[in-house]
Amino acid sequence: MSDRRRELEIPKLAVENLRAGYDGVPVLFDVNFDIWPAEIVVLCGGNGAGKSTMLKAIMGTVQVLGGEMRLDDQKINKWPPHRRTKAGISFSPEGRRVFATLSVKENLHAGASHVPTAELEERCQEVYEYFPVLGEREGQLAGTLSGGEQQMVAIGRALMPRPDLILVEEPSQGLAPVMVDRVYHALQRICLDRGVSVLIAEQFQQLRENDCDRVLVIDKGTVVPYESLSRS
Amino acid sequence: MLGFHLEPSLFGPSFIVGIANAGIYSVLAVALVLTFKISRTIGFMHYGVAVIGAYGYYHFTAEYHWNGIACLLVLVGIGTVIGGLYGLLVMNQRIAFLPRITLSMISLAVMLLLTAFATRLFPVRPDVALSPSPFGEHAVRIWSYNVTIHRIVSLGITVALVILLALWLNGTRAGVNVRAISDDVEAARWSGIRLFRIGVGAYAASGAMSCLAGALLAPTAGTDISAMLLVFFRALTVAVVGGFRSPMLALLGACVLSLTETFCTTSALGEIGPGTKETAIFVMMVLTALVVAKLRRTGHRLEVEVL
Amino acid sequence: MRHRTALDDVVFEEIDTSRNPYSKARPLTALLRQPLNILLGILALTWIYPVRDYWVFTISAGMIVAIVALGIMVMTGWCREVNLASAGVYATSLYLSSYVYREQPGWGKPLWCAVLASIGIGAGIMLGVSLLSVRFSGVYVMVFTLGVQIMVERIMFTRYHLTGGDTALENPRPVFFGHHMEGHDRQFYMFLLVVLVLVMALLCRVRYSPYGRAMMLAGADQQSAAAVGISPWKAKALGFGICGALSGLSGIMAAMLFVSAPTTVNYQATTSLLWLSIAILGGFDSMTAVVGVALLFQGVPFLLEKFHVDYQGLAGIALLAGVLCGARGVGGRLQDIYRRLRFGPAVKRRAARPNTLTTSASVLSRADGIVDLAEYGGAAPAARRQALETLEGWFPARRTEPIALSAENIWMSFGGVKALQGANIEVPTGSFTGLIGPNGAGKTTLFDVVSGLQRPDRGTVRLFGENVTGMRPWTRAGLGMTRTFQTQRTIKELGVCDNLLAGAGLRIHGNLGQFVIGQPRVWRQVRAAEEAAWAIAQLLNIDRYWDERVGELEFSARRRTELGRALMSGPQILLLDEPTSGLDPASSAALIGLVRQLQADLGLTVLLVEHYVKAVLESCDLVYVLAEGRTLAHGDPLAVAANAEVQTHYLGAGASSSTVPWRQRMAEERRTAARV
Repeated sequence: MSDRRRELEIPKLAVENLRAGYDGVPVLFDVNFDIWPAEIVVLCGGNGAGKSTMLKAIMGTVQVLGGEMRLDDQKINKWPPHRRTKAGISFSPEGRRVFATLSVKENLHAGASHVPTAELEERCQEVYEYFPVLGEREGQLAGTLSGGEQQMVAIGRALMPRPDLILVEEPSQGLAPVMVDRVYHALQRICLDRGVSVLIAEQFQQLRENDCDRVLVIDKGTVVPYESLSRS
Repeated sequence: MLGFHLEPSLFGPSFIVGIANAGIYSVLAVALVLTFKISRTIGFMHYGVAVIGAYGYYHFTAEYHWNGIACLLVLVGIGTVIGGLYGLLVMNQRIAFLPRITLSMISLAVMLLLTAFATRLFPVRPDVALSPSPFGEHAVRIWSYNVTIHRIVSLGITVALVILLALWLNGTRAGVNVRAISDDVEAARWSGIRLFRIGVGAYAASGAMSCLAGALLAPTAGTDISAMLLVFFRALTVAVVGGFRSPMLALLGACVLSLTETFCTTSALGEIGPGTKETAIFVMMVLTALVVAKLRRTGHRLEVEVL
Repeated sequence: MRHRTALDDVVFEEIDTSRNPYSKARPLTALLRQPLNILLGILALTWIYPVRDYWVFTISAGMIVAIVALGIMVMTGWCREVNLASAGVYATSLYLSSYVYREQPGWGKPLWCAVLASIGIGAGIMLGVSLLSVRFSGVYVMVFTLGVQIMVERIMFTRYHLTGGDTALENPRPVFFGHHMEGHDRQFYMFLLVVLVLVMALLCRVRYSPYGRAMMLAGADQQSAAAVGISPWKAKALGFGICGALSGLSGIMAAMLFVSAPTTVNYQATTSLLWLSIAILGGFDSMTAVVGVALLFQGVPFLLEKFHVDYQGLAGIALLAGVLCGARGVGGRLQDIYRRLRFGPAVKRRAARPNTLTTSASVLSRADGIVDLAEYGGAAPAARRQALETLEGWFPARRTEPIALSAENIWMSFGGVKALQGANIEVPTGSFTGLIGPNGAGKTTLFDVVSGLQRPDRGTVRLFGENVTGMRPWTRAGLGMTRTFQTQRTIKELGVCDNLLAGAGLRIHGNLGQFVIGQPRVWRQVRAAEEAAWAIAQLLNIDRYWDERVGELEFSARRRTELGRALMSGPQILLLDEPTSGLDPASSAALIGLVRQLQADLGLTVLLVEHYVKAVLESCDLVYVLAEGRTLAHGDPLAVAANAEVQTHYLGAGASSSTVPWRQRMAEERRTAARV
């Protein structure tokens, strides 16, 4: 995206000098970055680097100790998670975290709390378009699905409120490469078709440089330039 | 004390009475299951609400001579309000994520306050021992044993409630949300489910159920607080044994427990003292809890069952 | 052979090396030295003379409740197990022991028989409940104790020949020095006072012995307790037992106090809850406050009548108040006020003793994580030498076997996930070994298997050659293996000193009786432990927080307290689970440097799991890489870093599935699809 266009648009999500952590202890130190509409960004880092905390801070379940987050130029620091979902951010957590005792369809419905009942079926069908295998297994308990299918349920659940920004945490974890391909492909289609921004947190060794627009590297709580990725 | 000899003629009536008693236990057990699903803590305050229900029913019929059914409806309303207020207190951001032991103690404290409030607000009259049943005083003859209409209707209400709750949990969107919360509360939060609203609603509903249970108890137990605590403890046993899983399990467990108890009391199994009976029920609860825990074991040596 | 790093050139800062300011190794003298306690003692002896009889009686009854409440304080405050059966146990021992003592109906045995029976009954019931709670904790124990209370009500209270039903049975009056006494007698009050003071003294001794600290650690976190050699079940059973014994003791005291045994209505579940709330309100670390609250609750019944608050209401309010006060209760708050008055506000206190670990460091942090430290804080060389000498004396002799720890061919799966598939690790004695690997590789599972928290499906774990695969975690700790955890596992309400000393249990030998009697030999070991703890605190730079509550300290100080606790157990091999997680780059590097120094100075063996790869490659002698449940590579850090497989799996640039940017690819696909 050209810089000229960047000057005119406001970013979808702007993070400024963010300090966040648990119990008053910061894990993120002065993080600065922007996410623009309809782009795929990968947040790359080792464990303990702060990827998970970053996504959870954007989602609203981690204590913010300083700095600001803005969605479409609205300050969202104090918004509870359900408000952020309504405003257009949704989250697919690490390890999928599907509701094991609920069926696939119920999982999707659980992600759409503020969507009127009349629209639910339509949105489910949209999700099945991207993940046909879920449509086949609508009534199956989510706990009995394979890892890849559960990842699809998690992303599908995040798609139900028709978000503008999806946060996906480590989608490759525990999945066979061909499954990972499928998941990334679906995310790319979603980005292109609906103009949804995707922020993916991944480990270094799972980084697919050509499957995203930009890479942000996070190391021990700070975002550092991508060039330093090459190691001695 | 352990004189076991069977009295077949008493089996039938014991069975009937046992099932009928199960009704009261299961309403309370279901209320406990519902609040456990939301908060993963034991709702001791339901006992307090049940006491308010019992004393309130007693008071309204004895002092004001209201119609029984009207009393029930009013008390259900009161129970909903109390439950809702308690939900507002504990689903609040700062309190909801306190350790479970602290939340259970808050529940205990509220239980005590409600009980104190009930005994103060609805004083016991010396001339009225038991309240009249809202469903009339007739009795029906089943298998050469008299069963009061009250017991039958209570059972009917209970079964209807349990079925309704099971349908609600599985059929409605709010029910699905409750099951999602009970499955994984963090993931539910991230999915945009409004924990606060659903929590308060669940507490209000369970408050209504406990109050109703208490009111249904009043015609049989009167204002004997100790007897009511015993009923509550039976309901707690049932819920613990079922691992707080589902309303249907609670109903089933209540039947089993109540049948055991009735068979012991009516000497269908011979002369069994109250001591043996209590011990037997306690042992049954502990053993079942151990078995349930064993089935869920993950192999972690020091992972202690904290429900 | 590890290469030289910047950490070898550090310059130590001079700090003050004053002695341990807060010794509790003589607990009773420490207690007597506090002016408040002396004042209270004088008050307790003199107030009875000018007042009326019914006040003496009321306060005597209050003191009996205080004894029960102290027992609950041990069980619920120290071991964190809620007891809802205290009134039931108390009543059982009251009725049964008065039966033993009474002439008719009764057995008419001498008084001391009844006392012993009482204590035995109480302890017996609670120990029985503790057996049930071996696998259960928290809320389950609440339910079980409530069950016991109800069983007592249904079984005991219906035995009218014991309880006397509505018309209470008469108790014989106790005879002291040939003198029959009434409940309101001053002499009986003195006797009760002696008993109460004895109980408090004994509990004080228990509190500062390894047994007391073991109970507190087991209550706070069972896994940490196991890691330093404490069997959490035994520790909690002790708490249950003490609670039961004290309930029993107060039962027989009550039998002597009341001319006719009170009716059963006084000992129902509500009373248990009221007494529970007394213990909670008083606070878990302040016996004086618990006694004070008990006396208060007993001494104001007429006030209750005025405000129309009955027993239940009082219990409810008290419980709520107790919950609001937090674990430290009123006693803790009063202690805070006292410290604020004497030493100034906490914030100021801490500002006056800053954390020097990284304040004077000018840190150059490169993007790939290598940290060059110009200087970082630490103990002055002289103080450091002395501290190390003390620790040498404290630690057991170093083992000489070549291999400290080996895990051979470990297979572990749960819930359908194959966590470990034939992992192998060998840690040579005296080495600083690192274990790295991607998320989900099985590092934490391997740690759990090695430390005993999980039992592997297949494979063996050997500690100094001995097969320990079947051993419990605390037995392994006894053999010299200690472990830390990734999440915070300290006793937040206690100070750094208490937290450090909680780990010393393995190095102090003595049974409970010896500690309680005050045998000098065992208490000398406690003093030695305090010296060692002070030495460790100096080495880890937390000596300035010695008496500060750990929960109020900053994160890296809490981390170091945990590390200190692990060191206090005198381990041969130390397992560290991600010690730098949550720390910023500078503190992380400093911490690993600190650990490396300690390892070299004390001759420890250290196995470190870390995600901060650069620090591991910099400072470890030996590195293992775990991936997908298997050992991918091991050896010298440079060799491992250069290993091609490791590069692709973990360190290197990621697997790119395509060489064409995705937008281009998608556009191509769509064009092809449109053409078709």
